Amino acid sequence: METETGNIKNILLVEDDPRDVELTLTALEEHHLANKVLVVHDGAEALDYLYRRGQFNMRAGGDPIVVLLDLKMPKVNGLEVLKTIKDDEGLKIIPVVVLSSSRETPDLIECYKHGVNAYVVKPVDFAEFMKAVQQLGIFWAAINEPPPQTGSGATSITEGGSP
Amino acid sequence: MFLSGPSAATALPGHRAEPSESRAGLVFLLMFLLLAAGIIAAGWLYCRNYEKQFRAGIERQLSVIADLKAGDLAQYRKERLADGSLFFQNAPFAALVRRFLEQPEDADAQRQLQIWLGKYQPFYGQVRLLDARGVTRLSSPAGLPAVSSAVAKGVSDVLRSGQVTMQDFYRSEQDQRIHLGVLTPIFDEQDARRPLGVVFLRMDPETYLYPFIERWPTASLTAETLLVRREGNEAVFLNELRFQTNSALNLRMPLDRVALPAAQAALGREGFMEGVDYRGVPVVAVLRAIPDSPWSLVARMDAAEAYRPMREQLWQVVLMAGVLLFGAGAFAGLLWRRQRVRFYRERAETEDEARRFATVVKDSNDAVTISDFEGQITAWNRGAELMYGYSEEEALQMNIWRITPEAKRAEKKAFIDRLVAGEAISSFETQRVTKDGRILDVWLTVTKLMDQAGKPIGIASTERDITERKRAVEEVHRLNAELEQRVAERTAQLQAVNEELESFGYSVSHDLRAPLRHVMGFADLLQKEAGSSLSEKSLCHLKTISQAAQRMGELIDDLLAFSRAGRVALQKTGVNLDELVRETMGGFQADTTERHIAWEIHPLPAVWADHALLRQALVNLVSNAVKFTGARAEAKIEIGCAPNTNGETVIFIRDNGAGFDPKYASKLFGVFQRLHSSAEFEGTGIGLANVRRVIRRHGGRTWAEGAVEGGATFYFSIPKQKEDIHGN
Repeated sequence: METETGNIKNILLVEDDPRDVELTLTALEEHHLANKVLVVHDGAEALDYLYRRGQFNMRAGGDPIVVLLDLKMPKVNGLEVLKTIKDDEGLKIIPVVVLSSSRETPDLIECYKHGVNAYVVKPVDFAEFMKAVQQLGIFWAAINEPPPQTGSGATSITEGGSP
Repeated sequence: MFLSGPSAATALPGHRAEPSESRAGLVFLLMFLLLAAGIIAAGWLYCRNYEKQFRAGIERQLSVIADLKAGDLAQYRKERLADGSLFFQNAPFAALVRRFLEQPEDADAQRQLQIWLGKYQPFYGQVRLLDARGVTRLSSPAGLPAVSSAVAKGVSDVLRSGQVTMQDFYRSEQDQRIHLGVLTPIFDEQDARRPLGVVFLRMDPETYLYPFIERWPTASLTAETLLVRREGNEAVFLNELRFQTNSALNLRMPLDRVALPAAQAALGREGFMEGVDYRGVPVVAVLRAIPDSPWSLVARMDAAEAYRPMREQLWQVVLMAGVLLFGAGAFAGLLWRRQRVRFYRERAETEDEARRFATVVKDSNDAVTISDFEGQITAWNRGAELMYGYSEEEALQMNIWRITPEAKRAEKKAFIDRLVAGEAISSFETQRVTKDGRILDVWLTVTKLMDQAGKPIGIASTERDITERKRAVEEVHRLNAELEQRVAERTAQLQAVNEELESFGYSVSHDLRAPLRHVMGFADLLQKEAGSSLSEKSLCHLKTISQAAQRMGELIDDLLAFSRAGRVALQKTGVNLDELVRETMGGFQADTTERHIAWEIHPLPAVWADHALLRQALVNLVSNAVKFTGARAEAKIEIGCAPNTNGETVIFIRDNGAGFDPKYASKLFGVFQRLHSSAEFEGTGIGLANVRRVIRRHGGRTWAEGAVEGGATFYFSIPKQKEDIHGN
């Protein structure tokens, strides 16, 4: 049962760079949160997942409890994904946290304008990065009460797409 | 003023005579003529009167003489007849004559008769006793030849008439001299009808009669008296004339010469007359018939002499009239001249002004034209010639419509109608067409011209060619538009550059940071995972890798900040420098707890600036000061406000740190310029460049003073503005 629960992947990480994915998962692993993370590699995949289409049309489970979103991605970028989610009545309740290398003001403004729930700058320093990601994971997975219908026990996220 | 009234006529000098001037001249001429007429009339009347009186005087004078002479002649004749009458009906004498004729040898009778005759002989040249046949029977002096035929004829006449009779002038056949005499018939004392003979007293006119006749009581060169008698159709001159010798009884003139006084006298006329005498010379004469005689007397004088005093007088009058006329003329002329001088002076003055105006108008580069309301052009200046290409001569034959383009005719017509209706129209822009068909843009200024009665007579129009100006204005507009276009293009380019810069910054933020993070992350992971099995040296290498990546991250952050400082829009507000400095200092507190830093903060003013950027600059400067005093046991940092000049607020930050070589002061504020090695002081070399950029964007300056190991002072200035808040 525990393993089952542990296998519920209700954190959606949208990140195109495999090294960032690895570093992020490494950081989360320290608090055993990595197995809750489902990784998609660009915005299009993220939207497919959320809308259950394409390769995710048969996926199980509900909506993620949080979407960790990189901004700079091929195909559909993070800002577009954010806009789509926040413009959709069904999806807008899903918390979205932007994880970005940029602390450029325009990026911040655009994201907050479109209803981002948090904006985290990925520190260059690895120690700081680890700290930030771990705190983030703990906050969203344990401390924060997710909106209803997301990440419930009945919902399961099956692994899809290539790492 | 020139175009506002009829004085516009002066614009065309010589086209019209000066009416007032010739009128004045006419007045003076009339005045003179009137005066002259008066003088001539007066003179003529005076002359007429004088002549009349003078003639009357001449007539009187001649009449007196003529009357006197006529009377004397009558008396003379009477006396002569009286002499003859002594023998008439003298019975004793008749008896003696009868005795002597019957008995010629009767010596007594002869002697007694001789005594009778002898008594008369001294008074008469010859005294004769003729018998009835006219034969001289007795004479005194004795022995005279026979009597002339004229006398013989007279004897028979006198015996027939039985009256004592004058024997008129006759020429003696013996001596060819002229004589006259008295014939007294002697009848028988017993038988009165029986004629016995005739006593004949012969007179020589030369002795008394001719001298008497010729005598003129006054001194005269031409006056004379003459006697005539009629013989048939001729007048016979009886005495010797003053200007013609041998005239007596020889000179005869026909009676039909009416102008001849002698002829008129012979016809029996009496009184005064003017005529032409025997010499053909004009004369004045008085005619008198001598009573009981065939004689007529003419007292005559040459008209030239008679009238000379009158002529002289008349000439004097004429002369005087002439002088008067001349005087009057001179007077009128003088008045006229004075009037003219005044007139011309006045006119010259007004004309001078008008000419100045006219010159200005004539030489104006603006076209100045005058036309009547039908559009006929009446004046055309040089400017118009140049502008429209028509000469003045051509233009004066032209209508104004010729220079009005088709499209503007309706406008022009409407405008003339409005002007005539009394509307005030001053200036407007329109178009004109030149002789060679070019269309000109003109600025038109019009004035309605009035005559002296205030009646509108035409339109004066000044036209300025503004084609060039309009073109220039359009050119300026075009250039402006072009410039704006270029500015817009440049702005767009700049915007594009800005955008590129922004996207560059964006890329730097994202794409350059990520690899660094990976380098550091994986280096850390490597150390964690394999740290225990690595050598000391390998661990050191890993650390160097992390540090290098970290430094690269800092450089990127600083560069991004620097780039942002140049790009973001300034948002100026009143910035309280005291607060800002305290805030900045607070940021360094944590890092400097182990150091001894003596902060000296002077009171600072408020400035008008972008809060965030100014803060960045201050952070840079303060961090520099903190950094370069790191080697000092007792660091000292002073922040204050320099005495300001030129409307600037000057802030300085002074430290007692490492300082710098002043000869490199100019390099201090350059990007990546460092005066110290990284080993001595860490840093990216962007901080001061960023300060300069921020201050420059505020319109201020940055500079520094320092010496190697002598500390440094950095200055920046912010311009004071109206909005500056002081002492807040």
